[in-house]
Amino acid sequence: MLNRRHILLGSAATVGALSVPAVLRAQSGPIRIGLITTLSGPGQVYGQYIKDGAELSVARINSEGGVNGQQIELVVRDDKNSPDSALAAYRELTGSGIKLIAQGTFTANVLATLPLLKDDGVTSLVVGSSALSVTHENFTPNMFRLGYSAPMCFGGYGHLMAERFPEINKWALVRSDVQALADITNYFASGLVKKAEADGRKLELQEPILVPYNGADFRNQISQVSNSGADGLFNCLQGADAISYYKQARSFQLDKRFKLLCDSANELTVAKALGKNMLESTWSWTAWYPQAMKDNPSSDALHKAYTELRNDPYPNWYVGVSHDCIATIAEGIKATQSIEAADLIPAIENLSFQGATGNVTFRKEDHAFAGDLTYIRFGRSDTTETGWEVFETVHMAGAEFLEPATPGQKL
Amino acid sequence: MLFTLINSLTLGMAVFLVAAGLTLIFGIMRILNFAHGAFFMLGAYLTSTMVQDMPGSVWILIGTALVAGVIVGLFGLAVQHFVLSKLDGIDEHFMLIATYAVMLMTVGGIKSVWGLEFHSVDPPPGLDLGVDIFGTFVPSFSLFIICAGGVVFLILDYVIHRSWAGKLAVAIARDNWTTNLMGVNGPLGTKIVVAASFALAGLAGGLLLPNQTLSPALGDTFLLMAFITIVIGGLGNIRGAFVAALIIAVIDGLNTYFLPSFPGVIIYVGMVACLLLWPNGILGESRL
Amino acid sequence: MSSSVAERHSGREQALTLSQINRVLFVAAAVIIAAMPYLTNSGLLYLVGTTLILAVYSVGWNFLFSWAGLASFGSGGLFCIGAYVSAVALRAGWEQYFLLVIVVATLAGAAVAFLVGFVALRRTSGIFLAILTLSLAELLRHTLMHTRWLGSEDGLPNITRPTVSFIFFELNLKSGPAYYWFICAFAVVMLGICWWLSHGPLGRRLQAVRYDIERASFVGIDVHRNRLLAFVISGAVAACAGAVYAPWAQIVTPELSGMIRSTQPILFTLLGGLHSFWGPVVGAFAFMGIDYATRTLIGIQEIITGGILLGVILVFRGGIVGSWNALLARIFPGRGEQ
Repeated sequence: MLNRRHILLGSAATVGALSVPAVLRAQSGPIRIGLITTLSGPGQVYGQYIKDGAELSVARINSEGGVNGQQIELVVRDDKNSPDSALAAYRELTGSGIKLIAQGTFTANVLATLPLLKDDGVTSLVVGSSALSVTHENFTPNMFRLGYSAPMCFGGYGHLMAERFPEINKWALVRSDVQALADITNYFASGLVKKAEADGRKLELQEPILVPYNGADFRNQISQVSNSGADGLFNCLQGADAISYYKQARSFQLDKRFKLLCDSANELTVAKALGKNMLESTWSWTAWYPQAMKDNPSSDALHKAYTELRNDPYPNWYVGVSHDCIATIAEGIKATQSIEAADLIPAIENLSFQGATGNVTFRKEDHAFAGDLTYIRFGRSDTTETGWEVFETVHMAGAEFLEPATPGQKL
Repeated sequence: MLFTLINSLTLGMAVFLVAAGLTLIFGIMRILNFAHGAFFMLGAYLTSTMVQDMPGSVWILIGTALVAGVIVGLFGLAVQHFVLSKLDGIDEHFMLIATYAVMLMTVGGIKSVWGLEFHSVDPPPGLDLGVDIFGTFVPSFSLFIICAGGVVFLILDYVIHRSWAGKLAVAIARDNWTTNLMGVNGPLGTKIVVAASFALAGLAGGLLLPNQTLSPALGDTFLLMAFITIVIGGLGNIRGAFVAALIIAVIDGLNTYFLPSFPGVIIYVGMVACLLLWPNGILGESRL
Repeated sequence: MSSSVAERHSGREQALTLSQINRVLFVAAAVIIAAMPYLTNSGLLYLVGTTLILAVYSVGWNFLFSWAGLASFGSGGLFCIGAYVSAVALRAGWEQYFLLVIVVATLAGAAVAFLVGFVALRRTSGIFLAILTLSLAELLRHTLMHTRWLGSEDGLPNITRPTVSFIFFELNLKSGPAYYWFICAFAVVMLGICWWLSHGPLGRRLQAVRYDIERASFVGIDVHRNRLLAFVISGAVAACAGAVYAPWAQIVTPELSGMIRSTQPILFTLLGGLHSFWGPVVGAFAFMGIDYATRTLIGIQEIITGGILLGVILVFRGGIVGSWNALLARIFPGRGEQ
């Protein structure tokens, strides 16, 4: 596992990196892409998915002969989920001559590096991060977001639910007490209401019930929501919070009290953790569900490679998105033969290719991702070994739900 | 209202289970153990490995939690032997950074053994649903946690205040030097209390496992609350920690009932108020 | 003065006394730090700049801890207040008044520290004060996370580095190296003030209180007033450091008020050396060094960092500064003053 050689190698690498002047190392040899993500602290599990996806993408590109004959080298740094460490990593990478960056998980860490991209001539692909500010008031032309803006992905979600289940008119909402999840909940609600109103229905939406973020016990709120008398329920909690919440909700038989359950974005993470005690049925948004994309060779190849790497046939959606981030950079370089931001940015703006998550394309004005949306319904099953299965998948084009482009300004 | 109170009591007892070991080690060594949360988590992970997806019965859960407690206690012994005892005689604040380092290593170790993915262990059959008390629906596992907290408190209280071993530990904590003079093996006594403190962390991890989600961040959820509890109660005072856990439960209940738009925030306000009202903790500081 | 005494003791043929060795090291370190922009890339420069700010912040904390004997676990809250004041002011376009902004931020920190200290210091001390301040900082963090106009949990990004105008000339701090040197100047000024405070009458009075509270009050020292003063000064230094930090990082988030930021000065001080003025500075740079050297060891970084820390603590019992001086005294016996 861990031995003296590791340490020696590490310190040797450090000494090496310190002693060679930056100029000498600039882009002779492989094309170097920096990846800054959360590999320790809260959110590290997502960072691990991002790292896996990016590394698999690089491995695939290199095994196919690289980009224009040049190999790609991925330099990974940990942002420790703090803007401070993200900045230190970014400056270290750019200081050593790297012009291509992929960065992701939490918005604050991304916001830290955004203002620097232009002056440094760096092209950056943002993995995930759904916050509006990235493509609006904090827009910078050097950034492309391969992430799903809240209006697009959760407005679309609300739209889909209102369209599919016109009989459900009473909705309850539960969310963690943080702003990012408040935005998601609000856009889901407005998606629901808009579609229902267009169909001439009036919905009754209850005030969101708030649960503590990173909390230990959610039973008070669970009992409140199970007595709400609503038919539909939208749960907007993240990671461990979500799993604890569903676990503690089991004794209340939450899934029997509601006709329709919607989880925000935890997709199969919930099912994988709960196993045989999974909810009867719930919807969730996801960016990548490879089992439903058998006609997509890029998705298939990534799925196979990931299953081999982690022995897990149900990869998290971050794997697909971070794979596509690296693929986007590679496709851009292929098109323009250059890694300079001035050439690469227009190339990526005009790009449209099939990535693992579907069609990858960006809106020109604000570089927001305008690809496909995927929603899945899954739940308990007595016939499968895992104790759960995915019942159905819905693909939608995301562009029509995208919020208006206002780069540089608040929406 | 009754329901809210029972739920908040569940949270309070869960916090007490974690805080019990923390206050014990503070009582004897005067240190805030940063690594406590990590060892709590270690107990949870060990239990999950032993019971897999679901413990077969309540007794299996308790049994494996005890085993996990013993293993974590042994880890504690190792920490005491290789780290804490080496820092004897220098400023006690250095224990703080030592436990911080131990925490880093433990969390790192857990990550490399069990990985980062979320795991979940279900309550044993019989405790996974609810019962009806006075017309109020109560989840059975909540009752289990409340009982576990109560039992652990009673045992600890008996051992510390009534038994010979407890009195010895109190003597060592009050005045190690004199106790040594009287022919008691002080270092051994300290070792036992430290091991017991870590074992309690491991036990708490095992018992609370079906209530939480396993991830390498689990320790953080409880550590701060446990710190707060032992300080409000009076440091090193097991009865104080119990009372403080009850107070936290009541505050949290009132918070959910009257101020649902700020979940989990009022605890800090209550805590500041408690500290200003009882500057040395509700039941006062005690060396065990 | 002390070195001349040592010279007399050890004879003239010995070239260096212990404090001279340390002084040479100190000057060398200062020169290296000042020349950093010419020596490294922007990544390390950013880290060193941050570490300088955190070092000043920790020296302020240590003034409260090692001199006044009061432990605060909530200093991150005051750092955060300073950072937010500076961030809001700079984003509102008051960049030419940056020095004034720093002063205002410092005063804001001092005022909050005064309010907290005025209520808390009379009633609590020791670990109780520590936890009280910790929960106040947590409250601040939660409040900031719920404050939409301060950016909620994502904080305030895009903070512009200022161009400061004086009467006769303009100081452009927009570039990395320029702001870095500004931080250096800030560190020199703040460390100078802290040095003067801790070695002046106030520092002596505080130490008297720390050693023996009863005797100190008997000889006429107003214990509460002096402690409160130390609490306010420490808070002011934290907020001032925060105010300088905001344009360096160009983003502030509520996490600045979190437990990690508050425990930083404690860890720095303990690693560097208790009851030593330079301890926190040494500790801060040691931590930074460990962090930087292990940054590529993804997945095992925590184990390695923990192991190194543990090793350092077990080998240098009493912190790096104390052990270093003891080591020098052992290698060159007869040259030291003590």
